[in-house]
Amino acid sequence: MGPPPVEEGIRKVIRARDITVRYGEKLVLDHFNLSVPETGLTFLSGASGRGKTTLLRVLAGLSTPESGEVSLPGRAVLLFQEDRLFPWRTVRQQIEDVLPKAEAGRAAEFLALTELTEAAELRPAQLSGGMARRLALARALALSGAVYLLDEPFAGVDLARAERILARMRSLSRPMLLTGHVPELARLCDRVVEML
Amino acid sequence: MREKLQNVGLPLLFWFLVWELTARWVGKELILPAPEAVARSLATLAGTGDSWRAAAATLLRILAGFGVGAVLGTALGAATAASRWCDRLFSPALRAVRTVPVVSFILLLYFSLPTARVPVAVAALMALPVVWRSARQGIAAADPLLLELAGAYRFGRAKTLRLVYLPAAAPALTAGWETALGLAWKSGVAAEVLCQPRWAAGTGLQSAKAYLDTAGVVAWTVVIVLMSLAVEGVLKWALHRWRRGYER
Repeated sequence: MGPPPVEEGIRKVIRARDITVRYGEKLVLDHFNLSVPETGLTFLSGASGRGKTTLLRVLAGLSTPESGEVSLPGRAVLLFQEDRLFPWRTVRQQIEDVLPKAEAGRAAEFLALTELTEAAELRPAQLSGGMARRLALARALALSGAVYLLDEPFAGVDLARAERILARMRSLSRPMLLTGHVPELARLCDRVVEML
Repeated sequence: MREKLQNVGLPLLFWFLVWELTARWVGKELILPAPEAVARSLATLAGTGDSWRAAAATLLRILAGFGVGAVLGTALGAATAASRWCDRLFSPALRAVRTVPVVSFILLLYFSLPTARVPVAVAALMALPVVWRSARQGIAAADPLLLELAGAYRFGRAKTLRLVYLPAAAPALTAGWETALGLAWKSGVAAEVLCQPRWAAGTGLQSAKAYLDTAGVVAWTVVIVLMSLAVEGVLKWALHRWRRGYER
C-alpha cells in the first residue's frame, strides 16, 4: 500500500469516499465522505442512529458498503461499541492477550493510561460499566495499528476521568477517530466531524 | 462429619439391611446371595493375583477405548462445526453409529479383531458419537461477538481456540466426556462378557455365571463399579479444575 494521499498540505490517513450502507429498507449512510489527517484526534459526533458505528465498521473492514471505497495506510484497530471482554480473564490478562508475548510487561502502561492499575487482578463481572469500557479501550490501544477507530470510548466514564484519559491518549501521538455525544470531549479533540 | 453420616452412612446402612433381610427371606444363594457370601467372594478375589490382573486389564481397555473415543470425538466435533464438507461427510455416519445397538458392534467386531481388542473398540465406538455431539454443540455456542473480535484483533487460530472456543465448549464437553466414560464402562464390560478375553473382569463375570456362583457375579460387579467410580472421580476432578479456569 502506498503513502497516504496528500490534500491541502495534510497527509490523510483515512479516506472514505461515497460510502452508502443500507440495512434492508433503511439507508444508514448516504454517499458519505470522510478524510482524517494522520495526526491528532478527530471527534465524530452526531445523534444516535446517524451511522457512526456503521461507518467505523466499514472503515475497519468488518462491513461492506453498498457503494464507495475506503483507503487506509495500514491496519485499523477498532474499539467495538460493546465491551466484548472475556469473562474468565482478569483485567491484566485481557491486555496481555493482545500484546506480543515479549511485550506482555507493557500491560501496566495501558492499565495506568486508563486508570485501571488498582483493578488489574479483577474479572469483568467485578467491574463497573465505566471500568469495563476503560478496559476495552485499554485493550484496543494495546494493539498496534496505523489508525484507531474508537466507538464511544468513554460511554459510562465520568467526564473528569475521560478528560484525563483523553489527554494521555493524545500523548501517544497516534491518529484516532472517536465517536461520542459529549461536547466537552469534542472540544478537547483537534477536529470535529458532524454526521448530520 | 455428622452430615456425611446422615447423607451417605445411614442410607447405605438401610439398603444393606434390606439386602440382608431379603436374602434371608429368599433363602437361596443362587437367586440372591447374602452380603456375607459376597464379602467372602470379594475376599477370595482380592487374594488371587489373577483377579487383580483381570481387573487391571479391564481398566486399561476401558481407559484406552474412552481415550480414543474422546480424542476422536472432540476432533470430529471441531471439524464438523468448522467445515461444511466435514459435516456432510461425518455427521450422518456418527448419527448412525449412535443408533446401532452395542451388541451388534460386539458381534461384528468379534469376527475381525482379537478378543482382547473388541472391548477397546466397542468402548471407543460408544464414546465417540456422544463426545462428538457435545463438542459440536459446545463449539457452536461460541459467542459470535467474541469471534468477530478475535478476527478483527488478529488472534490467530491457537489463541482463538484458547480464548473463545474452549471456554464456550467447556460445559458441553465436560458433560459429554462424563457421559461417554459411563457408556465406555458399560459397553466395554459387555463386550468382555461376550468375547471373553483371557484377562478380563467381564470374563470373571461370565465364569462365575457358568458355575452358578451368584455371589461371584455380584463380587465382580462390585469390583467393576468401584473401578468405574474411581476413574469417574479422577476425570471429574480433572475436568472441574479445567473448568474452574473459565469461571466468571
